[in-house]
Amino acid sequence: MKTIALASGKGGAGKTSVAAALGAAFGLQGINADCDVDAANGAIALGARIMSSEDYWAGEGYAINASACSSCGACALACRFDAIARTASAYAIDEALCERCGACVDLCPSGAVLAHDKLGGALYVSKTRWDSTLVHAELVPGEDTSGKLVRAVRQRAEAIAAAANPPIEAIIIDAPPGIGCPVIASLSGVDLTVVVIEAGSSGVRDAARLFELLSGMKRAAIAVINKAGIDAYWDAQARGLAEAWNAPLIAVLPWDKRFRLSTERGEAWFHSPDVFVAGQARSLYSAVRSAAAL
Amino acid sequence: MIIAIASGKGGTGKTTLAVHLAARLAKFSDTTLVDLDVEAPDSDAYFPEAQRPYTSAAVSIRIAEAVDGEFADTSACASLCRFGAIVSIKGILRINAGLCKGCGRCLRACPKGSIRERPMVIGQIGETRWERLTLVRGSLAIGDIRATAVIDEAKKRAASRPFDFQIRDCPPGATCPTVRAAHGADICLLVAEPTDFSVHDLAGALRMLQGMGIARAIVLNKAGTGQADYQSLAMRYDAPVIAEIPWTESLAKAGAAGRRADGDADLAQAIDSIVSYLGALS
Repeated sequence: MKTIALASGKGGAGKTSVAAALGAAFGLQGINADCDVDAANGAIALGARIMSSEDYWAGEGYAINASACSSCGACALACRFDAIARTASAYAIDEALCERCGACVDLCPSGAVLAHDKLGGALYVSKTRWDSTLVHAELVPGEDTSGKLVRAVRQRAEAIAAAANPPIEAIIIDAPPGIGCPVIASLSGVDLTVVVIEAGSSGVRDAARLFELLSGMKRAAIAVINKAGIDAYWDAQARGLAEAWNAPLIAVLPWDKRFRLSTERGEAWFHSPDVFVAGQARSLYSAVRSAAAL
Repeated sequence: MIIAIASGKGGTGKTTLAVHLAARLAKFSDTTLVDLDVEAPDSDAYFPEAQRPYTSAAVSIRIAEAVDGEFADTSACASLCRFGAIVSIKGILRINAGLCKGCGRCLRACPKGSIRERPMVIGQIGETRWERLTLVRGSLAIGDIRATAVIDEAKKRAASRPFDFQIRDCPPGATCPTVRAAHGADICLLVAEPTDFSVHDLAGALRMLQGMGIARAIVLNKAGTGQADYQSLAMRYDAPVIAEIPWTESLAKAGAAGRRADGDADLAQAIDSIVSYLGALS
């Protein structure tokens, strides 16, 4: 079994659509794991029916019990993130700035800072329109620790794959945009990363940062150029980038509204009646299979 | 006035809106555009007129390290670390520099003085000017996970420059980096496309802003490319739709090239609506 991730650096490059197309093509031999837990659209692309859900606990949050607070200010001095400030009656923690380190708990002489478990979101196991499995999650908006939830999604997908019969050939991971914590959590240890390069200035710049990250993580990459044909210069730059990082270019998808219309109809490209769109999905699938040595 | 620009979904047009709004406001007022999408900062490409290179300063935080490289586990610090940065292997503690957020909790808790701190570079802040526009750009070091610390530093830099308007180009998503980027803004403009994906993620961003108590408005981008219902969300979350930017081939070309389209009539009209909406607020 292979773990294959979709990543791009830039948001909106087409990761989710390509991940859905590959998932549809692998059918019952594939599992989709939507690790873009900030903006999870795999369930829309694949038509998820939720089979089971569970709460995801994000870890500790902190609050100051105003009636126990002596307003000494030790907590505010301890906080390196400027998350604690004096209010009219006591000190209070600004959740938006709190990094959840808990240093304030140790330093409060009155025991007024209390830790509590925070509900971070939910983890779902669903069936797609084609009865394959999708593991996905939703973070509570404004919540923290998406890297931890990404690991939980991956672990669940791996556990389901290990028990599956017929055996699973591939877990398809849809990574978040960017290059930070949840992206690293999505890409660590994967067998193959498909870098979706949006053929444009921002798409190429952001993909370049991603290739550098992947190189540091020693992960193998192949490339798909998406939304090509708008600007010949950036089409060429996208090709050059893939070449510079020795990432075999397996597909160049033109900017064409037939892809978007197919996504909107919930066909995941592979099941599209449009022969052009379905053909592109089939050839993507076979190129990814061979790159992953499946 | 501080205006955050966010979206939920990536690729909806946050940077496009941020750069055009900043360019317009800078014609008649001191404006700072701060790129807080530190994992993918792209706004600078849209200002080739601005002085190059950017001045650059490293962002560093104080991280914990063991005085002698490693030390015996006395159980005082490892269990306190909420970031998993201190691991005990056979009774010996090691600190993972990449995971430490520099909170100082372990340092204060250690009874033996086995922990000290050292600076670690986690990103860069760039800055340049063009006429009345100040451009500030935060950039996370590749392989680092401490985006929020770079966002904080870029916000501090931007706050230290006098401005009538500060435009923040925020990261996609609706969790910690986006929260940090939007925190303290007077209003957040959410850029949405009329597609199922975008509207789903718009809902998350609206809930985030509602929780933070930040005023919000929606700018519809790529209008005409889908029929998804964003109007119900606009009603439910008290976020008026203040402008629509149509999808046109010429705007798509400018976007791909990373070029401003100040002269584009459709875009100029949308920016006009946004400027007059902001003017009525202030």
